[in-house]
Amino acid sequence: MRKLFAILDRVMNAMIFLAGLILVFIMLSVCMDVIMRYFINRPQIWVTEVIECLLLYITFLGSAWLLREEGHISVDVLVNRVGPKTGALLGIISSVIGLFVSFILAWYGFRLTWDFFQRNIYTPTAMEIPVSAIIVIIPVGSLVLFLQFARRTITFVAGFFIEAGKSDRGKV
Amino acid sequence: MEWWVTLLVIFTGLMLLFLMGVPVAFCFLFINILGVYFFWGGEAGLSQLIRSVYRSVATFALLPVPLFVMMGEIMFRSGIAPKMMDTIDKWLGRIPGRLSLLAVAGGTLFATLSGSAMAGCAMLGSVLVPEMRKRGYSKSMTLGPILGSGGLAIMIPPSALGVLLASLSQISVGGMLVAIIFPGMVMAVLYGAYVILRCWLQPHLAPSYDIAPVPFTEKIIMTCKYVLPLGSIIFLVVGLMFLGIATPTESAALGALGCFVLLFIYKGWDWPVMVQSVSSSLRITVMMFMIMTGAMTFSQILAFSGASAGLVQLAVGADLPTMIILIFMQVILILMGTFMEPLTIMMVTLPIYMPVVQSLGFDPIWFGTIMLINMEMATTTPPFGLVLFVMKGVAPPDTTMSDIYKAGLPFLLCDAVAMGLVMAFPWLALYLPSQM
Repeated sequence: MRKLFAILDRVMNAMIFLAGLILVFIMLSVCMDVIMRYFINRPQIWVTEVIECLLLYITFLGSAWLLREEGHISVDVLVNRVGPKTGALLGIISSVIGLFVSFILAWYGFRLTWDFFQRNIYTPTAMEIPVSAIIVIIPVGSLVLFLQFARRTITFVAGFFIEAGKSDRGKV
Repeated sequence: MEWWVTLLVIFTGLMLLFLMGVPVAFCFLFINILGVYFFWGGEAGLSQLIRSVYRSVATFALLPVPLFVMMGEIMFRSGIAPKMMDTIDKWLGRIPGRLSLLAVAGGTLFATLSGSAMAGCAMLGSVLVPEMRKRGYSKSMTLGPILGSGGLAIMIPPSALGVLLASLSQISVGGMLVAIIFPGMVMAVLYGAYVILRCWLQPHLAPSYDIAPVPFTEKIIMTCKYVLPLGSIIFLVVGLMFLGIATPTESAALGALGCFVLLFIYKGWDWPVMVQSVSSSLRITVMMFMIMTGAMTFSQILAFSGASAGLVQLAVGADLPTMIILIFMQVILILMGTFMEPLTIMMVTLPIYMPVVQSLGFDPIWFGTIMLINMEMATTTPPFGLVLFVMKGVAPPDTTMSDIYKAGLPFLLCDAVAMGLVMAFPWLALYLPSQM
């Protein structure tokens, strides 16, 4: 299990590294586009279109990593006020909801990607990017997200039993 | 089902998920999954959901967001901010509440470079709090101005939240960013006026002290070194956009590149700072965009259930002056702001607010500006606001949360006054966009 999680960590690190490169690439290519347009009058038509798609890539490349860092924002009004046992229970509930959501995104994402791939669908624009190449990141990212939610669930379940053990001993 | 029953079910479900601490992005996606399953009939709906995840995020309007965020992160880490503050400090004479005013001036200038209220507050706090303590400033004059002016980052372009608001309500991003300039300045002036007035009436809150005279040439040199270069960034972002030379996205990219160049000039090739800046920009971007993935489907569900149309009829049919409806809408936002963060509030309310705004004939940019002031308040309204907790982190150790609440209150009132002014004088928001 530990080895599996180590691999998962490495995958997430690689994904976020790629997302960082993409972010810098976005900045540079947009600047280049402006300069090309104003100084040598050669606008780059691909820039806007490719970058729009890269935004989707950044989001799904980073989502699992952000979950590991507990950086997805949540309303913590209640969570901060309950005991450790209830806290772990709420953690389990939220992780299971996350498991469900990321499963749906991964599964239907794969199906839609496959469908677009088989039907050879391209974006109706000058660039004609295969749509499947764009949306494939949704199932890929969601799959990693699913695995990270699974890990989070296990952590909270373990935490819950540790806390339950403590309070039992307290009673005796 | 009656539309209001559906609306009630959706909102109750969403609130329950929020309160259980489910990350906001997944609350929306969860509701969306259930919604499309019931409204669009099973599996066909779910593949539609994937398409709208794609279309919600891969959109031109959102492009400035990561770039604006990155600008703020670089500026925050570059070490330029303390030097900029130092320069303004040299220019200020012996005036009441000098350091508090410095917070307002520095916060305003920092806001022109950063789109994050949290970064603004952290920067001002870490630079000014030790000095204010040394000079015997009271807590209200230490914490309040920092809380207020840190939040200005949201109101003065670049503003990531402004872009998100414009994108969610389908209004021009450029127009929105230019519209918030005057209201942001009005807020800064109100903060400054409040500080001077309060310190003039109660001098013990901010004891004045003698300042060593600084030679004029030194002031000029420091200004050229640390303030003027920032001006070029401001020009890249606001100027190019206003003149119509660059789109908001392009000016954001140029601004971010400009910040990297400044970082290089001041600090040399600093890898750790660059990596940290990119990494924390990703943190914020992914957090926001993951919430945005649910945007399109969520608003479609609300439209499909008849909730949007129902509320429009309610608002139009109500025999009330439109101003009262506008104020009522803002009051709801303020209440939500006490425990939710701005993007979540916008996601929940905009799909039902914008149809109402249109049918009542409000200018959407004007409405957006008023709402953004409200969202700025949401980051500082007690008991829960992200900026409040950042403030706690940089405040003196003996500061309690209630000290922070009390200190922030007058500045929240200033925000409310600014909101009232924009409501009463729409040109404050609409003049600049009309000149574009």
